[in-house]
Amino acid sequence: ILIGFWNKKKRKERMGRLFLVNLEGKSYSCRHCKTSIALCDDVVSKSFQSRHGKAYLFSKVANVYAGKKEDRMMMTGMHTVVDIYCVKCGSYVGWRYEFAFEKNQKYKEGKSVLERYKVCGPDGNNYWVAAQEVEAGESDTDE
Amino acid sequence: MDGTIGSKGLVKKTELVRIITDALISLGFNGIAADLENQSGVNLLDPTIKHFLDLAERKEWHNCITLLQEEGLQVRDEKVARFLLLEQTFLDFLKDDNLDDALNTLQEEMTPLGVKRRRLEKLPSKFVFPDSGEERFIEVMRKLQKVFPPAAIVPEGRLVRLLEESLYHQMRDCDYHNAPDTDMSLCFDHCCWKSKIPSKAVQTLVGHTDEVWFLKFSNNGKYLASSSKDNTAIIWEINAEGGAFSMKHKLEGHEKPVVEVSWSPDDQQVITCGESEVIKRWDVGSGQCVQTCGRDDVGSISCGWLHDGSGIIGAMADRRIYLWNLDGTEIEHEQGQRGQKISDVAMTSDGKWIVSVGREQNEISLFDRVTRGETVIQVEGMVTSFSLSRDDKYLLVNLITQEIHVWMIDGRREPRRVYKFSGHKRSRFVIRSCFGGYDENFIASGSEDSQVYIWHTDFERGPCCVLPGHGGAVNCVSWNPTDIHMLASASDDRTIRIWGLDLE
Repeated sequence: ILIGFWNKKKRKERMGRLFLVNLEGKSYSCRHCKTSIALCDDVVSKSFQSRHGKAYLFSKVANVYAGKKEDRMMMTGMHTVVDIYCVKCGSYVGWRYEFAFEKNQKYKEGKSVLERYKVCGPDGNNYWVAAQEVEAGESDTDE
Repeated sequence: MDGTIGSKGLVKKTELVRIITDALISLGFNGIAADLENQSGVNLLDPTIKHFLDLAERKEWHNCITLLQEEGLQVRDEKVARFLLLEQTFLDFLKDDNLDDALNTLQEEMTPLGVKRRRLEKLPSKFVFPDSGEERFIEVMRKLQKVFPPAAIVPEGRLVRLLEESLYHQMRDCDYHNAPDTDMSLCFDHCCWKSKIPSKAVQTLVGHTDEVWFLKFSNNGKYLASSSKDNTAIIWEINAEGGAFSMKHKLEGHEKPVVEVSWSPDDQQVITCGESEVIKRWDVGSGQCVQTCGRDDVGSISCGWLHDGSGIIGAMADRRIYLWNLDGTEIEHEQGQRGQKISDVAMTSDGKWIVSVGREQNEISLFDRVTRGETVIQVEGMVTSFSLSRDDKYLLVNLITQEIHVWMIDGRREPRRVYKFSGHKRSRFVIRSCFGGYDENFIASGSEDSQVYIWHTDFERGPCCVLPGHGGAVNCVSWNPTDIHMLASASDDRTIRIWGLDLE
């Protein structure tokens, strides 16, 4: 009886007709639904960190939508960021820099970070996270 | 009858009487017009000028010249007036083969006047080519009327023309004007502001069992077709009294979500497009499917009609465009692959162009089937959907950047972007917009925030109306082409809303 009750409560996710961009070439995809999100050619830096470990900075990504703007203190200073989510399944994949307070961080504006844990590599391989402490605040870095 | 009338001192009483006299004549009240002339003592036309023009109508040029000299008619330039009259006598001499008199007129009478040099230089050639460049008599009369000072002759229908100008200015000054021309009155100043924009949900149509992705009014405005993720399309019909919609037919047969419905030019048929599936053609009267077309190897993405209803266009998942006759045979079509999979396709109603996403993703192509030429429009971002205005002059493009751009594509000039609108939300789905309202001066759009957005093309800065009410993303809107006060919206909340005027 309890199971039936929960089924009634669970609201089916409303979708609309998705607009998906097709990416040509080697690309990273959403780990859950395999939608292509970014081209390998668009990687700017592989030295970023997120709470789940490695993260890559991309000049541009596709098939994502953004959440609310937030000011976050990263390892390299204060930034205004938006979290980004896969358009198809809605899972969180990373964040985009909207504004950098420090001059030498300005190059990040408009670029996006994808958490390596949340995407499949171009050969379909995943990144497995070892059990580790969740860092307080967000991570960041660059070279 | 001296002086002026009215608060600004601009209207001369005599002129007012004269244009009223002319208006009475054009309404057929010649008797009243004559009475007005008598009682006011003001003539519509100075009797001497009238006499002159009567003589001219009868081509009695010499009498005209005499009148000009002796009666001391007020003219703008006497020499020019004489020249024009002498020119007519000269032409008449030529017609009668009276070459001596013609030459005499030219040399002894017209040349010494010293006016209209250029015209004078052309006249000798008439001896050799008498029939070249003959002016119509109306033109001659018009030139003669211009000989007199501007206020001497009242142009026909002058009062009505002034009133129309005034009404036209009221319409131009009315921001967000959306009232039918029949609303305009001489008895009060017009200003409808935003009160005539549909903003109240007058009906909610329930019938689909899943998200409604598309809808469109028929060309005659009597039907509304909608399509849904529930694999069906529905044709709704407006009731004669009351104006409410009811379900006429549910078109079942697709096995995938139906992404588009398109009306034939005569509204007798519709075509529906299944998502990555087939295109089906249905009869509106019976609700029966009369044809299924597609390709075995690839599914359909969008569909459209040929402008004369003689065939179907389909954009397929292999990024190519295909054409079929109504009997199902394929028509050859040479257009290269499109830049992206999701592409709308449409033909302008004059049959000139097939419009679709271009070979690159940031482009729209206008393909001319006759010349096989492609005109390419570069837009500032990927195209998620587009829509044509009813007169084929404007193209509305929805971009992935959440902006709506309007391009003018009227064919005689290079296409160019004329407007940019934003304010609505689009980040995941195909959200559609359309032209509508008075003279198609409005743009309506769906939005992922569950609201309908409306802009007026004179005001790009922001939407003039935002209509909440739907319980999910609004995917598509359609403005009734025959009722500027009716708008329909389709939503993920499985309903369709009909919006009308808020009569409070």
